[in-house]
Amino acid sequence: MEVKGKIYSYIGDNIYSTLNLKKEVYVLDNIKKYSDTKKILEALKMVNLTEDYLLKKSNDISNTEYNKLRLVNDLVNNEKVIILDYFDRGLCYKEKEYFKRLFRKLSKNYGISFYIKTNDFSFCINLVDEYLIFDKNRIVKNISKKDIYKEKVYEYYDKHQLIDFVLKSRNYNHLTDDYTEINDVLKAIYRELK
Amino acid sequence: MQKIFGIDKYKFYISDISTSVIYNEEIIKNKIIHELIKKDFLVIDSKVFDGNLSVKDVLKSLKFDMKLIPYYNLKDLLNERYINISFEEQLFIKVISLICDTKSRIVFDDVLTFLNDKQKYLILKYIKDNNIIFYNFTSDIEEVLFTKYLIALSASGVIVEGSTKSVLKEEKILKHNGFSLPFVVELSTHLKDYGILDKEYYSLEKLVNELWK
Repeated sequence: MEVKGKIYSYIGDNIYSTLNLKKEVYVLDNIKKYSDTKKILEALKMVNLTEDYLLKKSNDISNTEYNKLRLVNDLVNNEKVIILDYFDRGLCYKEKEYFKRLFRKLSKNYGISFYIKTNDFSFCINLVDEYLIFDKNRIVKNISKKDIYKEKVYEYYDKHQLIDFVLKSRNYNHLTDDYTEINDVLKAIYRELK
Repeated sequence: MQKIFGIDKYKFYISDISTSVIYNEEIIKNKIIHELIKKDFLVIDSKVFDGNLSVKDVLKSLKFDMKLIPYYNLKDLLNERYINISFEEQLFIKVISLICDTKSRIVFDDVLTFLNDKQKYLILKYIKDNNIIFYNFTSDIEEVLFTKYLIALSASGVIVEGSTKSVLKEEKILKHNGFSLPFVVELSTHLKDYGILDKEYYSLEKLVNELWK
């Protein structure tokens, strides 16, 4: 039986927020204590890190590497709920697309649910199943991915150039469908103008 | 353009012009930032402060010009505890204080990316109005449109640099090295290839107006 996790994005202050990206020493120490070396190496490979990272000191690790190590820690401990705070920051485009595919795969095949905090809507679009809007530690709204235009989810985020383009085009009575992929936008423009 | 800093090993040089620097390996970015700190550039990163001060006291301790409170819309935050405001607000307070009280050239170490659009707009407007030169190391490709000069870094060093528009035309090189293009540039480049537009665009409003006029 396939057990599917869900991918959430949450916005607003809530119990899942971390105040800053302070590196916690325990992450590396925790990974090193874990006995199944093979599992650690597999998890490191999954996040594009080498086993050299097990020899590093905490203050030798960048913020991005630290985020990846937190993910390794969660994976080796078989966490079914993984919280990702600004995980996308510092990742190049290729890596962002890689991790989006990874999260979808882990969610679908291993039933892991991800809670993603980011202000970058372009990272969420086509990844997230549901958007959770918090206010003072309470969920005040949850919005399905199919309702991102109807419920104007993007207004809670930044960086939604594609959505902005579609909305501005609608002022000219064009692009009336709810587009989320640039290729679909290109095809629609081509159909409308050619 | 006058070169003011360089690392020959990476063919990395910056001049007296505001520049965006995009990178596909954090390690090289960190090495360059480390060298810039040694050369007395003001490097602003995404770490925020500890402590139990009010926002007002944090601003005062950082020698923020309190006359700018209305400009940055800070009045409602002043009496809040700094540790109780959101991470974005904490970082915003840090950035606006540091850029206010400096005569150094400013380096943003992937920090603007954490701020919302309005906060970024206020900071960039202040920088522009005060003729401050800055170097924005960023993982967010959309931010390259903030500056007229762009450097793309890989693990081995600089792969391409030049005016932002000329670098963004090197789509194959950038994508081969794991970079994307700003959305408006990507879209208009494809539309130009389809024969629908005659050039690339760098402003969403201008693209929309041109397309649907």
